[in-house]
Amino acid sequence: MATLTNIPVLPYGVGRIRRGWIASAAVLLIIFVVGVFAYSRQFIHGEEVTGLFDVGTRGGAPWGLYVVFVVYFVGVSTGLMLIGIVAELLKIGHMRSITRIAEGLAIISLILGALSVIVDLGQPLRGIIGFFQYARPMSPFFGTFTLVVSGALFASVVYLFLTVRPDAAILAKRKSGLATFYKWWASGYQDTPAERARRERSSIWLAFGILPLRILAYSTLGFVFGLQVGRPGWQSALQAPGFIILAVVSGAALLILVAAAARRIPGARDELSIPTFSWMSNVMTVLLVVYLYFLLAELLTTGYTSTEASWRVTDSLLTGQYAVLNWVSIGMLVLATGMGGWQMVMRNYSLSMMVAAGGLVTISAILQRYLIIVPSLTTGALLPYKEGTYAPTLIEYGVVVGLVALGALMFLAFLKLVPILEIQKEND
Amino acid sequence: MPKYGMTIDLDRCTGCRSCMVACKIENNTTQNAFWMYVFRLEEGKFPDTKISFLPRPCQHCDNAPCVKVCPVGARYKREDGIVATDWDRCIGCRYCEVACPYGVNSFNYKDPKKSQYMDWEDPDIQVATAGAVPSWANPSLNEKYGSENRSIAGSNHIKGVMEKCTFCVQRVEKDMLPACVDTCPTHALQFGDLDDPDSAPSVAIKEKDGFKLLEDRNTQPRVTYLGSPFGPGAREIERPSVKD
Amino acid sequence: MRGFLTILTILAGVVLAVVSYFFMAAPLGQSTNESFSNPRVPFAATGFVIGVALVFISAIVYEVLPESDSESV
Repeated sequence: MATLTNIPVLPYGVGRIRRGWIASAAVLLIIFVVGVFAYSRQFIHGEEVTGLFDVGTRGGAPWGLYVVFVVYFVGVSTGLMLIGIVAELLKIGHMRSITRIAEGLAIISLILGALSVIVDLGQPLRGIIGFFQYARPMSPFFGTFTLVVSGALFASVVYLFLTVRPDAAILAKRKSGLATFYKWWASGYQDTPAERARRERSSIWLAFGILPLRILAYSTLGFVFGLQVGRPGWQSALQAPGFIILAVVSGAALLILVAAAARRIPGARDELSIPTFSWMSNVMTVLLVVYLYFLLAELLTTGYTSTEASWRVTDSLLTGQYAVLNWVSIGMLVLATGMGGWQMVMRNYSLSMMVAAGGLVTISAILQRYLIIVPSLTTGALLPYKEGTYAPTLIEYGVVVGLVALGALMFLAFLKLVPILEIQKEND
Repeated sequence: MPKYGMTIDLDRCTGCRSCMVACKIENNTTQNAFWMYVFRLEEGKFPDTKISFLPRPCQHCDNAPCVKVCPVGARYKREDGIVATDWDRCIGCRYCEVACPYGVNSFNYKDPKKSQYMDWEDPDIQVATAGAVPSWANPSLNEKYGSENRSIAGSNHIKGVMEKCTFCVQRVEKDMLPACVDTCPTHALQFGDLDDPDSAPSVAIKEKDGFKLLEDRNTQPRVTYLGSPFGPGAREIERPSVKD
Repeated sequence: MRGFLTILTILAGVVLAVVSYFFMAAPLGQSTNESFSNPRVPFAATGFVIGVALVFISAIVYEVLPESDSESV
């Protein structure tokens, strides 16, 4: 498909496969294959190859790393979509340049979220059909499955299809191996005033449709935990709102990291400028403060009103087996907040500092999900079972890393098919 | 339609764990699964300690959290009150296990092995088993039950599905008592129709004060405990918690 | 025509989603018998998913439908 000419017919490296791209893709492919191998062990031998165990007499956690990454991937996707849509809706000038990266990443991480669900199932093949055939609205998984995986994924794809369509129409006119592909994508778009007006109008309506859908969808994932009477530490009205806040925080963090890397794309550096990053950094910082406030409110509420069992869960986070992880995670969040706040106050933004904060938040956001899910399973028993433990095995790490590699591969492919920045305005 | 329920008289329970063994033999559960589990608890500090026992089958809740959360309806409530798991439909998401406050579920993490505890084909062992039918060969575990003919009896069928106490549906449907009830040497366990005022559990409830396990969770269990509950700070004797 | 088809798609989607959720899927409420574990119409969840999808397909209908001569925006 690649055109091997030196004159860029298509902007931003689209359609041009370079050596660096092939090398990164090859490395990612190898990692992905390792992940597939790890999963094949689990598929053949069952989940005994994971660190998951039954609660109760066996003292384990039946949900572990996979569910953590379901929540993380879907959360990142939700956050990115919210950021992308709000930026487009409010026409925040500096943010226009990252909306497309956000939308592409949102779709990819949603696919990864769906795959993480499948990977977690004991009977994955049954699961794929079973959900469609039997899904019950009474189960919070109904929302996760229908809204997140299908509704949100579909809505995001429609959104991306329509926003890229004007660009595709421009690219279809240029001679390249991808012209047919863009012609199909443009599906007759002529850039007439009427079409532009329709584009304008439908992007607003789509945004109004997708925003509540994504918030509702990710809330149902919060309710998967928040509605359980049997697991102390989870029942909290703040569970779903906290999920949403952390989603946007982790989405912004990942966006900073990916956008910083995307500056290496030819022609993208000027567009992905410091004001763009500072805007994302500020969003992240402000919402981090809200999240830390939620954590504090949660801690105070549990501290004053908790039952013996829910205090046990909190205690495992404060002084028990999860204390180190918890304090490291909170420390990283506080540090990132400080870095963001400092830059906000000094009005002096440094890209490396923002990238560092984004990295801290990304790691910490994953840890936060782990610390929400696992301690309630291992230490939240209501009957006098012994305290449990959970340690992911190499297989689980392998599968998760393989999924991340798959996501990166998909993003690399995305870069070669979709111009990472809007090209419409070149013609304006 | 009967309304099945169980009573467990804690004053009669001696903690012998025969029920646990009977359950394993009847249902061929895997080595790490205890559909029936007897807590042997200790309270207080030596020498002022109090020992108590708490048999814990599935509570077969009327407002079962596991039934609510099952995404595909594999865990369901039968009209007679038994909370059943259709291992033909279960997708192995383990949400029921996460939702259950009692920790009664056990997941098949690996491929099932027919013989759990000994090699029934070994000639030396056959001397002792004397032609008895091994648990895995019990045909009633593979039959289908209920108005919808669903695969709900027994354990250890395939990997990647959830299993738990079935109130021995394969026995109950043939007018037999669950294996644990049948085996209990002190008649601490009683099973029967709660709608029938003369059934064993109905009589037992009338004679003695009881409580439901974790009543504050509003799960409305079908298992009633008679006698007094274990006190706060009770711990398992054999397996003290990690922190001690 | 364009507006009509768009609204029709949205309405069809909403109706399909609502109907599948409340009337075709497994009943809501505390389970008392086997019927609570089965969808009243098989693949009702798929109906819900398609319903939600239709609502968003309406945007494609609105934008991609070829322009007719008589049309004004």
